[in-house]
Amino acid sequence: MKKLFYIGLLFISTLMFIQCSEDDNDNVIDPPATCEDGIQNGNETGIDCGGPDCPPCDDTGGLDFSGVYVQEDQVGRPAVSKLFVTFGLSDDFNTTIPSQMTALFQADMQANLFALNPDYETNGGNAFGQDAEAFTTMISRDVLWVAQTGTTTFYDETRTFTGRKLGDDVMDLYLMLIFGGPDMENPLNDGTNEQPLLISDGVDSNDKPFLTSFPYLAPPF
Amino acid sequence: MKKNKLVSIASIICLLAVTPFLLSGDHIDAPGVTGTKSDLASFYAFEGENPNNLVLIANLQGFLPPGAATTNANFSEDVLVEFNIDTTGDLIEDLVIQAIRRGDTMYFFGPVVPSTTGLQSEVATFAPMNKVVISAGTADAEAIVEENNGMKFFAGPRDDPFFFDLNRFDAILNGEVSGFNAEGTDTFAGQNVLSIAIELPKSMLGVGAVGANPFEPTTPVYSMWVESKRKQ
Repeated sequence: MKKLFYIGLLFISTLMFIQCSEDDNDNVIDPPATCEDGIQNGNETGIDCGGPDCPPCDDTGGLDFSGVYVQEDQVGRPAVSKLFVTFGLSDDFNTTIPSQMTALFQADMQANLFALNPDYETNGGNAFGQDAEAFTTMISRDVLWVAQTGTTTFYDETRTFTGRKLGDDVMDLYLMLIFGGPDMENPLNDGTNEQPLLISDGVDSNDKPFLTSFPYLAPPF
Repeated sequence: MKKNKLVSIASIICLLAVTPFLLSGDHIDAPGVTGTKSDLASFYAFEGENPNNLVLIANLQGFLPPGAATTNANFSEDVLVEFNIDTTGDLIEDLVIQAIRRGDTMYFFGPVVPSTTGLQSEVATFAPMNKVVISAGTADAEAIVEENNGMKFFAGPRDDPFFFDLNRFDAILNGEVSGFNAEGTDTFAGQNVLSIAIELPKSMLGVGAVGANPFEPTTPVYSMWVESKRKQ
């Protein structure tokens, strides 16, 4: 009788082991689900969750995503913090929410614009018709505008600030807006025999072609 | 063009020489994050191959040379990358898409209304979740892409798409040269970044804000930015 008891115990233990190691929830010999025992049993599809008897499982499969995450870096438009924010303030800029950026950083950005081009105002602002305050107020809100409809580009002949494609020559646009004066068609410093050239860096495209389909980025070197 | 309307080159060079900042995309832009796994290099947002979709790309840890630096590079499990989408034009995020690594996989949550806005976040585990195995960093490795519910996901090393003659610009700032060359040299050529790419139907983001972009006064616009946030 005692021997039979041990054989029975072994048999039940084996069934439980199989249940624990496999995901066969249709097994008719499942023991009943106990939703608070810390193991996956019964019809549970995870530990103490899923199946007809227990609460639904978290989609995260038991991974730990808990905790508070605190901001360290931020980017909207390209190169804003490096071009226009004083280096010692850039960590502060990167941990400021966009709705507060103008109040805290526009004056610093305007000063740095004048450091880059002291004649910005006397030359008549930029090709978008912006004086120094208007230009730096716009870019101080470091968000990328993305059009819901139509082509998306940082700048082309037809659209302005409707997104940022991989191939957009964003630095040439910035150089044009900083150094080029009010006339995009005839910018200052553009003469072929005039030096220095400050309105274009002479690099117009990426060194590898982009893909036409997702993920669009070129493979690594 | 009148000579006297030219920018005063001498004064520019003089001032550039004392201008204390270096430049590149958003790469290595601030002392607190440069060289860390939370350093954002750049953000791209554009219409997809399917014009009903938008593509969002965040690049991190810029200036990864080919070889071991790239194949050993990885996303931090402590760094949450958050795409913020303001649909109303008030510069406050209305939706977020979060990405964070666990093991060999990048997990994505959203788009979803965040539980809180601003500088502190929790992972939105209540939101729809997607995941993709992180692709390898070798040049011939295939890009692993997951598709679900009209969305596509990728994470892993890619060629740095940013291009600029940074070295020449630095030389201009230092007063060593007077301007760019007509044929520049791309300082970012041959360099890699860690990329997170998402493609999703525009319909998931709802309608943008008309008037947010003064150059496109009648076009509905999303205002977007990317944040990196470290677990405390």
